[in-house]
Amino acid sequence: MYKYIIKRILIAIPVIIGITIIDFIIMNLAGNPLEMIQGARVSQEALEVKRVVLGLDKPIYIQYVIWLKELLRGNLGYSIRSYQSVSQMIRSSIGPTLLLMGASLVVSLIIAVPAGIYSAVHQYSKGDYTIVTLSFLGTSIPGFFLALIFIYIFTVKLNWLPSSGMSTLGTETSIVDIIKHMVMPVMVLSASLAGTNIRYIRSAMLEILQKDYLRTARAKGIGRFRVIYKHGFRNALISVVTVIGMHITLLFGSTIIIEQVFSWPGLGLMTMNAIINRDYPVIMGVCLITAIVVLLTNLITDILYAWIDPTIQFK
Amino acid sequence: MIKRKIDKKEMNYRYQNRSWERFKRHKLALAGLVFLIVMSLLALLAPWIAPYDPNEVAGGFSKAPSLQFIFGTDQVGRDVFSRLLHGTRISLLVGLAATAVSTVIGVILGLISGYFGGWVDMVIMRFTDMVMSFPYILLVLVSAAIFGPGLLNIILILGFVDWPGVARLVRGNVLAIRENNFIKADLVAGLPGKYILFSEILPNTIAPILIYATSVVAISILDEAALSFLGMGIQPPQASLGNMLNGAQSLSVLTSKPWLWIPTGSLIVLLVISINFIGDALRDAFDPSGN
Amino acid sequence: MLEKRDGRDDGVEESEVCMEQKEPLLEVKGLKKYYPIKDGIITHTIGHITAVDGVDFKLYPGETLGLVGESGCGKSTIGRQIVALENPSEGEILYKGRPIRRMAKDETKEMKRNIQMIFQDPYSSLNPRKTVFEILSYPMLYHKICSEREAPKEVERLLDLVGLSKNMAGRYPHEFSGGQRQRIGIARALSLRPELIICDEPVSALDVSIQAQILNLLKNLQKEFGFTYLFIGHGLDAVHYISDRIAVMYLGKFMETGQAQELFENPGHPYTVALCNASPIPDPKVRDRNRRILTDEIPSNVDIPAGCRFHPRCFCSTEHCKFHEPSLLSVNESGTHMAACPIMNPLQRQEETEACISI
Repeated sequence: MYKYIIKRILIAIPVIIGITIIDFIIMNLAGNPLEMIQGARVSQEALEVKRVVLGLDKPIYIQYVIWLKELLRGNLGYSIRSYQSVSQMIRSSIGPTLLLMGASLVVSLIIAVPAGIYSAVHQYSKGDYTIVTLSFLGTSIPGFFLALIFIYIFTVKLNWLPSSGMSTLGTETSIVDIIKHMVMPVMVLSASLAGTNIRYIRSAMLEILQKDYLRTARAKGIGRFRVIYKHGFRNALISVVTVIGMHITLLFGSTIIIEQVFSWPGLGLMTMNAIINRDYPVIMGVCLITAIVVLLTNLITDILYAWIDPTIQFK
Repeated sequence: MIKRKIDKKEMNYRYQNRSWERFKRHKLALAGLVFLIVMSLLALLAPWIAPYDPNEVAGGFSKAPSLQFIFGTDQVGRDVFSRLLHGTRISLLVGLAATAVSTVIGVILGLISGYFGGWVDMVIMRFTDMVMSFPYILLVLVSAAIFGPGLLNIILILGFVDWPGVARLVRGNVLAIRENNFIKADLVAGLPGKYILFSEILPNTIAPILIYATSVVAISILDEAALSFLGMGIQPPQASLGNMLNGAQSLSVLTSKPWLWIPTGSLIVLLVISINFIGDALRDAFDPSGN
Repeated sequence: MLEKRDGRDDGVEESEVCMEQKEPLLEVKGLKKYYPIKDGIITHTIGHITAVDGVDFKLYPGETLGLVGESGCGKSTIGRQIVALENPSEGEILYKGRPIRRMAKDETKEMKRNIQMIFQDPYSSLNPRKTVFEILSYPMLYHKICSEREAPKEVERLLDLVGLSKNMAGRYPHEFSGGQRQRIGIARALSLRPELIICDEPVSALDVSIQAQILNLLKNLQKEFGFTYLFIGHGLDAVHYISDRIAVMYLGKFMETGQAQELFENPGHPYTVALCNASPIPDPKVRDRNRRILTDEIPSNVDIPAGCRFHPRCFCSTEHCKFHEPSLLSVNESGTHMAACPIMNPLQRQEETEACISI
């Protein structure tokens, strides 16, 4: 097991290096990464001196090494617009985003797990058809359109929920207020996620329900509920773990758009502003950090998967 | 390749017939197929059947639906219905073209990776991991910012970002098919590699590729809509389903001019859900274990 | 048209007589195959699975050599190495006196045409997306056995030869039963007019009633066209039925080789005895047979028992067997029957073991 984990980590290292190379290349396409590291307040006269100091006269692979060294020290560069350090900016905005993503993940599972199991157990029933059709609707509706519909209903028509920001301006921050602001973005984000997960859990459960050991369990006279939950769901859980790993990336993508619609002060809003302002150091810093986070998540789910599933051999 | 002497049409018909029988059982997929065909025809014929030029100021600003403008007019007085037809045309084009690009790249890389194995496989798969690690939308947004928005760029960007899934799928299939005895028989008989790869392996991966591709079309249409909604995709005045929704970001449009965003949004949902239903039915129709 | 080869019309008899003078079609020398077991953080080999552990044999034109043994004994690995699906770890395979791995390109192509294989599983051996015509015709066109115009006729003839109806050429594999598929697999092997056909457990996946049909088909085809067979199987009955000579394999080594009839009637190795006893006798009146049947698990081929590799399961092993690995020794005077068991060998029989070989 330990060997497997270490091995899996070792495989991830070249991928991380590759990610930094891709990031560096994209930054080169957009401007010069070393200049971005230094910040933009460069006096005109010192430009030539600066070039040498920064190593811009050196070949590109040496520039990459210099950049990588800065990266390891935690220096992701400075924003062209606000002159703030990128790592600082990411640190301050990642919290709200993680809150949003985490809540959406939990909500989507709360919806998807019972719905998926119900659907599989009652295959071809009216309830099954309804759930499956709704799950298709969930994955087919663009997040921003669903967000517009929600705002129209809950803010404009019913005036129940606030449609922008994380807390009401001019009031003291309270948990209830934050939750109120969270309801709509979380509902939108979990709709598409739940849609995918329902179908995944349903097919995993269907497959398991047909297995001989479940028939045996039923034949032994174990109650229906226990058969499904003790024997069935535990095994379906394995497939759920892999889906979650896969969907972190997708979830992050939709979060960027949804934060924009709801003006949620997270990483997505910050990135979108950076994209509109062509603030490349910020964009690429976010890209790099998220890519590494995604990679680590995949690593963790892989290990988790191996840990849950006893049939996997650690080779 | 050998030319067939025996009536190939009849044989193929017999094979496809079973799949079609199974496809037909999915009523929603059939409905989706009909809807998609109708919409594709309308989109294709848009220049001839649209009542107005999509970019022409035809009436008053933001007029509610009437007999003259069945979906009303937008903020600058263009006919929403005509723009919808032209927007569908663009959305379907982006979906299909981006899928074609990513499928071609993915199939080539997947075939190479699975067939040759060894370090080639290692390098390609690690590269796939890298691309997959970047959040998809972020990569698309950044590329759109660097290369600039526009129809061709959007197609290429979506195409170049979507291939890893296809590559992995094809590779997995190649690895599984390679274990079959009919491939071993080819190797024993010393048949050339390009015959084995393109005539024996590839045809057996077509069904899963096709199924996967339908989901990529759906995702690409959604992505184009999101990108254009954010103003990073198809640029006005050219109509796309996404940028037509752009105006709905303003509260006055959202609250008092629902004809400007509800028909467009609903059309995207209907197009995408039709494609997803079809994909699901295809999966069932081609499932070798199904009965 | 498959043509009968010259001077082979009076077939089997001649080949038996002249066997010693003839050039062997295939010669296998010191063949070994190890599969490395890899482990560790930085992968390195920590051991080997021994599939084939030093095997020598010659195959003469027109004869059938049967390879028999339990699953995992390495018999199929030998077959796969002959058709170059796997590379030997050690040793050489000579085809008409020339090593198969060091041939010029066109020579390799000719050799690949001449050595064909029939597979165990008839379900995965045919491409589900192709018609029988497509499956059979392309290899023939590639090896220029027939022209595109002649292909339909040639395919029909092949189907006829293996006992299928001519109008089946347009059908897809899923329209056939297991036995019919195996016939198509045989037709594909025949289509290239090979000299040698490796039959890798061709009947083990089939119903018993169909097994006999396929075995007879193989036998008749051999009589007609003079093929040489290497017949791999795990049931001694089927192998005995079709083979001229038999080699019994255990954990990667030959335990006994000899003429089929003699080996069957007068086994020279306890393992052969056990295999003979393993096949059921279809006579309910025969009861209480003194059957010696193998019950223990076959040892892992990662660490093979020292001394005689069969001694842990042997019913007549002695202390001597635990330390000395026996080699193949002649059992009869003419030297055509060899066995790797000094204890059962009548030419060097020892008193203490007399009792245990009276079967």
